[in-house]
Amino acid sequence: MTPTANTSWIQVESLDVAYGNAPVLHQVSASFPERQVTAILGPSGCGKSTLLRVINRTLELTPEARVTGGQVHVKGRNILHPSEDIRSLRKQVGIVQQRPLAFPMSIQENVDFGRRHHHGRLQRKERDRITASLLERVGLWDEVKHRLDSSATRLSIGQLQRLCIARTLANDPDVILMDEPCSALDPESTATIETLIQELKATVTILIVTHNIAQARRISDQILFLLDGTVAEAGTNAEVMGAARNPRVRRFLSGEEG
Amino acid sequence: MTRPRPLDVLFRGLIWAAGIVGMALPVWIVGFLLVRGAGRLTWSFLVDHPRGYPPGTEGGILPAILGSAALILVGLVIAIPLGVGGGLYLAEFCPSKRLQSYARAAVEALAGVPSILYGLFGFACFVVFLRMGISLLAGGLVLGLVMLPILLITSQEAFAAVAAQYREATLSLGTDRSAWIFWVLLPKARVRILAGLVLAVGHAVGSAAPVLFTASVYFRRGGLHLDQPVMTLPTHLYFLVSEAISFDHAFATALVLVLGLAIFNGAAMALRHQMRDS
Amino acid sequence: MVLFLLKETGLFQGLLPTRDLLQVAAPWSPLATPPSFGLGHAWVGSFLVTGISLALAVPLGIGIGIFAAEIAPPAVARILQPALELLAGIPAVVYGFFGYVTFVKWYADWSGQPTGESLLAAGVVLAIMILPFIASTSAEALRTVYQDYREAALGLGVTEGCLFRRIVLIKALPGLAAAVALGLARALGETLAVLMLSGNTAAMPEGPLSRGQPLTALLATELGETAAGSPKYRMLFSAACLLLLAVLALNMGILALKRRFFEHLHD
Repeated sequence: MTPTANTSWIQVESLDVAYGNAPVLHQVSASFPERQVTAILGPSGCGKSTLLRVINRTLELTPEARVTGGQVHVKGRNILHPSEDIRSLRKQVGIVQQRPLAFPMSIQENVDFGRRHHHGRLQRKERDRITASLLERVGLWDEVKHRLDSSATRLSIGQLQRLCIARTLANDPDVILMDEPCSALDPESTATIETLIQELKATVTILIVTHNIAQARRISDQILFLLDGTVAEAGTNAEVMGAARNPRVRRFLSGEEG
Repeated sequence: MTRPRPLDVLFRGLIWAAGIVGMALPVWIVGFLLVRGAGRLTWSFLVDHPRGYPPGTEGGILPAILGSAALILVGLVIAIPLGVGGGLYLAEFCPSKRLQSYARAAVEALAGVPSILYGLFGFACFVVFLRMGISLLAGGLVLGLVMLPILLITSQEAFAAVAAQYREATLSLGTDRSAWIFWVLLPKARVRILAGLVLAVGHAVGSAAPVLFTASVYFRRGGLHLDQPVMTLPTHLYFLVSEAISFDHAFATALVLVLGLAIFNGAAMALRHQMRDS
Repeated sequence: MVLFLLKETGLFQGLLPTRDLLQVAAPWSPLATPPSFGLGHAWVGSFLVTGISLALAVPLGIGIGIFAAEIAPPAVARILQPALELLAGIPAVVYGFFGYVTFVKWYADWSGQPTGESLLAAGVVLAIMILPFIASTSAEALRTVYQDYREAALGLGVTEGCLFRRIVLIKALPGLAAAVALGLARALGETLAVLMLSGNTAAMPEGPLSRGQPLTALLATELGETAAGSPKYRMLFSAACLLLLAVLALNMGILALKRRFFEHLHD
């Protein structure tokens, strides 16, 4: 079940999460190996996003949501401990949301928003260099290099999602969580993002929630399959895609159930 | 945990202070009126006529309560058909989206017009121009106008909400339009319209400015007649204070107004909750 | 309705008292010979009272808006909401009375004068009256923005303060402006409380602590004693029309601001 047990970067143990009194995750245990792409699959409402949001503690921004049991370790550190510094955790474990959002400022300032907060202001030259390299990494540089100071709100949604990834990368995270990053995007932008994910895994660990089985097959190394808030299947891409033991997972993967 | 910055802490403190002031103000005002007015507020105060000299120093406020109620009833005769009908027209029959948005903007602007201007209009149009004199009829018409925009806006929204939910399902069954309106739209929108009505009435009962020179007098005997002036609760309070007649009675009258409206608005809130549940 | 008010000004008979309307310095003495209808004191009174009420209610109201939208624990928010609705539901005449037996009385006791009406008292009570409108409008604007941006910004590990200053305030600005404009429109047109608290004295006010007669109070006082069609009557209706124009313009502004707020929210 767990490919690289204790040496893995992110270790989830017996996690229970509830919204109000309704349990969403029940005894979820999983581990996510370093510098690989793990796809989290499952029907809607199975707790995929919830699991993702526990890992950088953005879940607690939802008032009713509570972690009721279990532990999450990132690099051996118990991140659910009350003494955990949430902001530095969120810097280390970045998140990219389903709906890309431009902050009401220029493209340049959008990229610099989180980084500036964590590392302070830089010399203009240094800042420009960092912005340029980030935008190049997400493949946006050529499209926006002449309008870095114009408002980010005029970008297309595909460009915006890449901007959001650049914004997260600017924090220099070890892990990036992606919550259906392509569900609002057209096929072409989706392809760009998928290529980008393949490039990024050389330096960061990626967890991606998706409902798109073909996408999971294309980009993931590991797959975690959730059903009704519990782990139904976990393993490498080939193991889960080729020989899932759970019959409902097999039906889901073959497209008979969605 | 990283320590929060002192400025952030100060800001948070200020915001909490603002929130506490926001909750304390109504408690203070209502509490103040309760403490000073509750002693005077007896059953006989509600059902007796003003007595003493000048009238109002003793006795009760029954004619003011009846006058206010009569004004509202006359107003509703105008406001309900025009408001609900106008809302229905805008939501269902309006030929163009453009006209709809202009009409909506105009009605919203009308809702924002200060009530004293309604009073002035009523004085010029009903009292003087149409020769109604200062009367229940003139004042009721003015209050009808005050309630109209609120009622129109809420009923349009009510109809639109129902239509969004049920139109396709109903019309696809092959029913005609009048069946749709009478069997689906009106019954389904009823609760929301009722809530809007309560809101409008609550607003109109308390406003003195529109009736001050169209319907009300400080004191009068005799029953309610359409062509005669009436006493009303808010203007009674105004006269008691501005002529320094009786502060005891003013406290009790203010309390009647505030408690009455609180009950009224509470009913509106309960209606809205019921709406959300169903 | 607008047309009818205009007619009463005598506009259509060519009798519009433009000369008097513009005469801000002239006194209001309709009984003098020749009568003089300067409305300057009323405009100054209105602006003073409105200014005082906005100066108090805008910071407090937006503060309550922020509190309700973001900081208040759910249980507290459940109390705050009906509290504000209660405040908004109290009739103007009751506010006027309340101000009369509190602020006005305190000032009279403190200053040793027989009565304590002042523009300041009217402004303070007006501030309480417009507070719930400013608070709920700004809370609505802030709440919408927070919902959208909270996770995106806090997910980057920045502080709540940073989220508020650099994103929420900027995005909610048109909504907050609409809240202020709503308060302004309400304050400008409010009659009863102002009538009861400002002292209703037809003289140019010397400062916030002096008595005065804002425009709406003037209208309410004088209309009952005016013969229809007389110059004074036309003057009153001209003033009313100016007030109407001001409020309508403010309402247009509010609509435009709200539209802008919602358009910009999702691009």
